[in-house]
Amino acid sequence: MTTLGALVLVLAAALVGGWILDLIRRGRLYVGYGIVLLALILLVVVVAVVPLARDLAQALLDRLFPSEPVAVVGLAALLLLLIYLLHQLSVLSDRVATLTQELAIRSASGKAQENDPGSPNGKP
Amino acid sequence: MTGDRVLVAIPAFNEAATIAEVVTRVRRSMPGFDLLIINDGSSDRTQEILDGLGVGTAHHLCNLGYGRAIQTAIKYAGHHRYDVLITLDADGQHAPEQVLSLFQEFQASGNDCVVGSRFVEGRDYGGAPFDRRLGMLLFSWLTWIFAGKRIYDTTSGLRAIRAAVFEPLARWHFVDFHAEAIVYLSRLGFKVAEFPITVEERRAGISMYSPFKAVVYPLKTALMVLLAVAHARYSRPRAA
Repeated sequence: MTTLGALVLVLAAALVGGWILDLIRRGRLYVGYGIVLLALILLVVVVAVVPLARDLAQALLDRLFPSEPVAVVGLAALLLLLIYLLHQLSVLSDRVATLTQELAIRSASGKAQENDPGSPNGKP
Repeated sequence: MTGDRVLVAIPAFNEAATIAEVVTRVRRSMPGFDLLIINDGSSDRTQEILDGLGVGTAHHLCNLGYGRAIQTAIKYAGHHRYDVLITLDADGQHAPEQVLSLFQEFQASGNDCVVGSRFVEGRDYGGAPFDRRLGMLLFSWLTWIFAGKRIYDTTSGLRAIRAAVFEPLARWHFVDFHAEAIVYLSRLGFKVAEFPITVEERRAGISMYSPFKAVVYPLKTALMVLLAVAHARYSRPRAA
């Protein structure tokens, strides 16, 4: 890997890492998934920066995908797809949780009104 | 005591063995407070017991976790315009009789959130298992660094929360409303403090801290603490 290649990888890792952190902050990605993805990105940075790790990764890629330089692009695309899928899964999970909470609150409020109709909000 | 409307909320997940006693003790020691149990999708007899007790229950149709259960209580308290929300655990570890002293201290101090703390008096974690002690030290330091105030027992389930902080707590998402919530509130300018309490041994049920969670939970909380700092910057300060 050339120095420029390593630099591009580190820059891409920083960008994707920032995107993941922002998704977690906004509640659009579950923090548990985020930690796994950040660990993957950290691994990419280590591979790009540490020569020994780089050689090992190079040897592994050569063995798995011999003479296929686009393999890296494919792996990067898979990582992005994984982030997108987990993001969508987290959004869906968040919506289900919000609905569940809302149902629970409405049901408890309804019972409270039945128990104590004189009170503005009832007594739980 | 005061004219404030107070809601005591107890999140419960598979606490059939202890919930009846906890409800009875809370009713006896705090007759002036409203009580709400958040049944977080229990698969044992918890709901049946709660129905028998005639206690107000917000029933999650599936298990959402401790953080979401607390958030349901906060949303409920906000929706019904309570002035203060007190949360405590359903496993019988918190003596309801101690809640009154915590509440009195809370009202007198003017803090926005008071955490019932097992460790603030002795200022050490003696007696806790090694891994728990490490975790608690880490979270305590994190609050010290990022909230500017050391909170010794960030994982305590006994808390008193003022209505002013319902909205920011309901708006954001937390792992378990522990260190990250304390840092978030402090960063927004709210006052958080500790009040010494003692806890009893857990009598039944399963602790939410499994060996797997013991590894993952500190990572999640530490990351959320950092993001709480960032998110508080984005949020408009709500404190008066």
